[in-house]
Amino acid sequence: MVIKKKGEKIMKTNFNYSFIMVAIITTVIIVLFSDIVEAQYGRMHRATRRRTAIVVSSATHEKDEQAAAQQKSTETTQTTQTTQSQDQTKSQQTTNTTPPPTTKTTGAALAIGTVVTSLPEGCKTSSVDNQEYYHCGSNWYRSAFQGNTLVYVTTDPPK
Amino acid sequence: MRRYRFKLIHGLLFVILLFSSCLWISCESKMDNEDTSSQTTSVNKEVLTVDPQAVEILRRGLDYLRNLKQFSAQAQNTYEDILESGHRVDYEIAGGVTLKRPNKLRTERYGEKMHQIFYYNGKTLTLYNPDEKVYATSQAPATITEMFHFARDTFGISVPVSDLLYENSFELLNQDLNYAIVVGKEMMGEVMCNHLLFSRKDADFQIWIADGELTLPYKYVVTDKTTPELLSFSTTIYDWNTNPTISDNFFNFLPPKGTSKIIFLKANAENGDGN
Repeated sequence: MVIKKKGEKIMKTNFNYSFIMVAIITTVIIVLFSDIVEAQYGRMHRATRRRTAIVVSSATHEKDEQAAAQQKSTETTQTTQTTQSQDQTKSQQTTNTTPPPTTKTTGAALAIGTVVTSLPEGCKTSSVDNQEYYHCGSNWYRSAFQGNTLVYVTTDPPK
Repeated sequence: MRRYRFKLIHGLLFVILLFSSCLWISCESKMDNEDTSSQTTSVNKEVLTVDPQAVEILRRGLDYLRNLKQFSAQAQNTYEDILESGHRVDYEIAGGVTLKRPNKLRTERYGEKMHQIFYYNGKTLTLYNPDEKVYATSQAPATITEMFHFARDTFGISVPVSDLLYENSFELLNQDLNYAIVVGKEMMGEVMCNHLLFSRKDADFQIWIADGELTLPYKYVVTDKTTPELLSFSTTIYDWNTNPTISDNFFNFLPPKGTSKIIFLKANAENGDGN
């Protein structure tokens, strides 16, 4: 009688423990699973966002301006055009845009649309329809803004 | 004896599970607390490194700037670069910004033998170099934000402090942050500012926003993490005037005599007239 009663008591206790454990395990699984789902959703959500490089783009574009400033200083100190061309190339590498290639200024005939950062010596200026043209050797140039930088572009002779 | 052992194992398991559950719940509630005012990142471990207080100060500062109907300020820009010799060098360009909502802007910059004025009146944008007596002009979109995108994408033109002048600057700066902290309080001249640091994949940026009611930005630094030297450009903004008297003509460009009109080269085309 006594043993039987003890057995009943133990069985009841085991049942309570099992019930609580199952409840806890289930809760933990549900909570963990929801966390995984939420994390995955977050990842997907971030991936669908438009990536705007506002900070980076302004950093790189400002370098263009810096190249312009450098261009000015090199012009004043009469340094070689190679340096200017390198500056220009550097600014092209850092910008998102792809401006026309900049080349050294030479007396030789250049393709129409070639961009240079300074004019060669001995250019003659002429104004046609309120547009300034520079005649240098066998090339005609017009001023233009490439970004914030003042450049010169080879063009057809004015009519 | 067998029944006793069985009970002990259950008890141990129960204690272990209870302990791990408590630990997990406390972690979760800590994450929830930190995430309440932060709308920047989704549920992930990253959220632990984005301080919502830093984001909130940034939002307040940029909201204040966005709600100003007009203002003017001076800006000192420093650009870091590496010389051919390998030495780091800083270039300085001074400038000024005048803005009138909803769609008028004029900026000016002075470098070594460089003077450039940018005009935007809601219809056209103009770049003018007074020393060379040349200007170029183009039709432009009707809002400052659209104009910034147009000027940058079409002609590659940059405008000083533009990161802070967009109508949705906060939303743009707040994107993809994986780190944000309040570095501390620092003095910019006579103004006590909150120094904030933010980071995203390719760039870090710092901003100093005045503490108190007039939450104006006094300094802005962007570090380009794609350069091995971690080069930065920084802008110090001073002489704020939040209620200047400005006529609309201030934003219109009238070419002085002897000034030549030139073209804008398009950023993605070989050649092109900006008109």
